[in-house]
Amino acid sequence: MLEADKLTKRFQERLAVDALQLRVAPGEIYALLGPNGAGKTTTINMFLGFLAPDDGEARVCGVSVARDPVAARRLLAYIPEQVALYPRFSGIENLDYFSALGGKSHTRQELYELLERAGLQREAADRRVSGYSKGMRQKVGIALALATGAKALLLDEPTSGLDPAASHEFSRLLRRLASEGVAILMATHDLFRAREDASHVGILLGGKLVAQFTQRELEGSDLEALYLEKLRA
Amino acid sequence: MSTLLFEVRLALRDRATWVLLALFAFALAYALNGGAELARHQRAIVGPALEQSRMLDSQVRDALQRQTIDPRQLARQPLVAALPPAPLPTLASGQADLAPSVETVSLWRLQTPTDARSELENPSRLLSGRFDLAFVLVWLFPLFLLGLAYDLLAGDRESGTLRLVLSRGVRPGAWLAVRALARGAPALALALLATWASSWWGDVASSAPDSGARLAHACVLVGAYGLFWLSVAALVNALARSAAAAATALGAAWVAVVLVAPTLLNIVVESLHPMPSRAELVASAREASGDAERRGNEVLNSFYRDHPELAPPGMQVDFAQRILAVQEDVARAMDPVAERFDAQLDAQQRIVELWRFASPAIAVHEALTDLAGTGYWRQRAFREQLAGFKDAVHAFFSPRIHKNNWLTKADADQFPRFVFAEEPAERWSSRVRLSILGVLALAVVAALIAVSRLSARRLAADAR
Repeated sequence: MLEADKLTKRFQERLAVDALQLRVAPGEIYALLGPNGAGKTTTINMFLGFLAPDDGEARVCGVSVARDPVAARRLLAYIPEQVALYPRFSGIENLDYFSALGGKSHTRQELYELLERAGLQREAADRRVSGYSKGMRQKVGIALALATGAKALLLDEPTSGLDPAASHEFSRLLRRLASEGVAILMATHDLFRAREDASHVGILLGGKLVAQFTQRELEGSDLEALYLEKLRA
Repeated sequence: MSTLLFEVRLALRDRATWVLLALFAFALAYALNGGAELARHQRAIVGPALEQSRMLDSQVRDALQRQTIDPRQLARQPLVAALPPAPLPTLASGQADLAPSVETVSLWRLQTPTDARSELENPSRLLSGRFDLAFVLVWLFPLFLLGLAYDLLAGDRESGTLRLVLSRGVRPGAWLAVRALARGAPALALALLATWASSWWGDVASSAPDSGARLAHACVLVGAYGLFWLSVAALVNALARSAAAAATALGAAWVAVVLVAPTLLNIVVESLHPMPSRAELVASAREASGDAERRGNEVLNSFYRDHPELAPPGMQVDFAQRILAVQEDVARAMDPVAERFDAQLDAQQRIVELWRFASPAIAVHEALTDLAGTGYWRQRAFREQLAGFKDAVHAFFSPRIHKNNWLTKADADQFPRFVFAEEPAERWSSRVRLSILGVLALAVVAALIAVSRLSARRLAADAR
């Protein structure tokens, strides 16, 4: 579970995140929408403990990120817009390395299975990632979330730059992770994927959560129109 | 698999790592060969000298068992004082190619400055210094280490992997320490291997009882020096925001520690305690000797006034008594000059000892030459024992020649022979341990500053 309780961050005088109240339960996918500079990445950075909030608290499965950032990070997996991996390692070696950093070790067979579950075939898993496409790197990121048994997943613009097929494949994997009880918070500009995949959608403007919808509330409505309306307001 | 092995594997996947390691291995092997060559050259000088000394000693004793001998006749025989081969000569040539390790001592030439004709070296080689193992370990080893570890963090900052690493819940300090060790491990292993190889390479190491202890100290010292440079790399990476900035800063650190600091210390030492000129020493010796010879009779009479117990029966004197009296006079005139030399040399060494931690390169080089047995302290011990031997030669012959007493069987046991007494192990080990502790302390300070600058928050903020 991911919780933001009056989470606030200022950069000098500018309020980047303003008393954000947010809760992503296990199995939920929460899509955080908003224009550039709305505070989406700042929110994710506070969940990761990379930024200290000026007020409020971020919690991962009840663990306060401010109080115990290392323990909180061990419950998380993080997939940035560009999944940067070590180019001289193969996919499976990267997965093994990043799992080991988080204190998890797997047999080679288990690692292949994890990558296959994430959609990466064995032949590709043994190749150096310097030749990987963005979609393939995202799959290693997903496999990492599976490998570490993460309870929560943070994604920052995960589908940006992916072709439609790769984007579709990625969504399928996300839904599968959610069905396994992972709480997913995704900062995105991709309204289509938000509409398709998210169980909850929030719109962040100037650091403030101005609207929240459940998937049911969005049924039959036009998310793009709602979003633009909030932007104009 | 532990993260250390992952990091080693990651480092070894880089072709540049192999190129650097191959160059380093070549430099080490070349230096070991050069050191062994010098050691063999010196063995070829010292070995026969020691044998000559043993033979002469044995012949004199045998002869005295059978007959009495005129001391004037025996005093013509040059006696040999030789510094035995160093315990680990391949480790560092130190002063071995500058200071003579064999001296012939003759009663008639006791005041003549060092006779090093048998050990003449190419002057351009002396000027440029030797490409020995100590040179490679002190000067080049840091360069190779920094080449392998200059982008401990900076590269990850630039590529974006740092954020993913930090998101795994690692403690940045521990992760960086593991990475620094992994990057440095191959070069460190080669450096330690070469240090160990210096004990058998070229088959020139002596069988001194403390050779093993010296080798163990050398390995710890080289390890500590490697850790120091890895800590510096970690510190610079904790501060620098790009690999290029880190490489530039580390290059500057190398220049400051390895080139500038020792040069500055040398300038300070030379300015505070300049050595009297060697030409001045030789000129003084000639002047004193010429003056004493001109005043020959006066010098001799004065000598017997001061030492009436040495006056020959009936004051029957010949050239030998006259030369001895002149020598004594020359020695009196020369003593202050020689003492000034020694005092300045000791003062210089004291400053180096005191300020060696201004640069770990100085501390490590001093300690390596000390361990090799080619450093200042063993040379000083040789000079001191040589001076004592000259005194013993003079004390043996002088009264017998003055009193025209021939040598008998009873004098055989007192016939002087030079045997070099090595410094007790506790003395060199205490000096070297201090150097090791000093270098380790500097490494710890650099590492602590690096860790204090490392927090996931700060790093993530700097990372793209």
